[in-house]
Amino acid sequence: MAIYYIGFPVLMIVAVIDATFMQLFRLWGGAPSLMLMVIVSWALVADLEDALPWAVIGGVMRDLLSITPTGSSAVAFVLIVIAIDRIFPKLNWHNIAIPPPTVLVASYVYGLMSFGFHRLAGWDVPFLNGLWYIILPGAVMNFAGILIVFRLIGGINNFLRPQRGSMLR
Amino acid sequence: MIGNRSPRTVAIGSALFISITLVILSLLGTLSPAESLGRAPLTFLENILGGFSGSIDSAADDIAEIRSLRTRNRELEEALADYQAELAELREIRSDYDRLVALLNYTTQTPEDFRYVTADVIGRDTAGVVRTLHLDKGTRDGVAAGDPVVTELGLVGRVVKVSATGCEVLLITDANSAVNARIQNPNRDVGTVRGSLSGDLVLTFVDPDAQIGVGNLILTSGEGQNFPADLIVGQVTGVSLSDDELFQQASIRSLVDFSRLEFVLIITNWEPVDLSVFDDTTGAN
Repeated sequence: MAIYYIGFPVLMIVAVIDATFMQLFRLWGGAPSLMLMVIVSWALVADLEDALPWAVIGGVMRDLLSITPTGSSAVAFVLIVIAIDRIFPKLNWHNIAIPPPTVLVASYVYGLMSFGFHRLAGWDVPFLNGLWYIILPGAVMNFAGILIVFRLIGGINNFLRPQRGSMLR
Repeated sequence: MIGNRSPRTVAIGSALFISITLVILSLLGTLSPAESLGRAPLTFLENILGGFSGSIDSAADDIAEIRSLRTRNRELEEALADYQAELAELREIRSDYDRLVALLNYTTQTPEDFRYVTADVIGRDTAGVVRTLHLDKGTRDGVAAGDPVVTELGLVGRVVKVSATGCEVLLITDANSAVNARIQNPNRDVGTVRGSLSGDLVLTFVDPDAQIGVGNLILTSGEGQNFPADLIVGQVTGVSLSDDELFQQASIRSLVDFSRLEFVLIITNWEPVDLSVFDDTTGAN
């Protein structure tokens, strides 16, 4: 249960960091997303039942600080978490091979879904140009930053649920 | 039936159901009060962290920009000398204008009549698809959706979302933004200023015979009642024909540096003329 008490304020702060500090690293139309890195990391180290609430709450928090319809990031994060759960076994938090490519693909999945939801809400979204102008810079920065976040989230998960930190996995 | 399903299936189903329901309710507008309530603590935190990240950004910029500021300062001093001569001439014209306005009993809302609320920029849209700013003023300060946002250098955008303590502003540089504008030239030609994916401003739908010159000021025209008239939008930097060669278009440089905005002014007492009655009569949108 402690994981939920910690999760809520952590995700709240992460959403605010995304809207403030992360915008300092904006390149072209894209910026790194700490929220996406946290959700992907959590999905890689924790059980699906633990990762899904983080995906929903994190998505809603992110949407509250965005013009996107509330819940759209949650849908994208939930699908990403489910896909990660289906593809990968639970990773040890020292793993450095899987998280970077995973977050790269997740950035594109999230970006394309975000474009779709913006279009659904009536905003004009240039899909093709957006692929390289908005999604690519953010994806590259997420790729570069994921290992730090992954270690941090892995550490928190290990602290809260020590049995998942086994080196045998 | 639910009792037979595995906890994983229930978790997936619940997560998807909650998320999709939220999207539908949000698109229908049913969630607006709850969104406004949920945004309040986030805006409070954003206010604290936004100020802090703004300070870091400013400090980094200050160091990087000292050299370019020296050059810019020299250029501005030269320009100031020119403008002072022009100002004297304009004061004479203003004096004539005031007397003529008094004679004609012509009334219009001027910038002096606007009520401004100063707001700090505390964040930007997290999705990055739409160019928006988060400000620390909301309905509690008299801000409403649709309010124009400006700085002393010109038009910034329009409030699109508002909560009790904060609001979100769609920048004029966004591709979804369209501002009816007038060129400050003898013919007072009109056009539409649009944003773009890269954030550049383009004046489109200008009559092909219009005389547009590099350096011409572009002001809001007030047509369509999206913005008050005579707010500065930017300056023409280049002119070309549109792809279909039916109109002229001009690239515009705003005097506002949208990536470095720290505070802005929200015009809270501007009320657009209600044009909906004409829509009802004609059936047009």
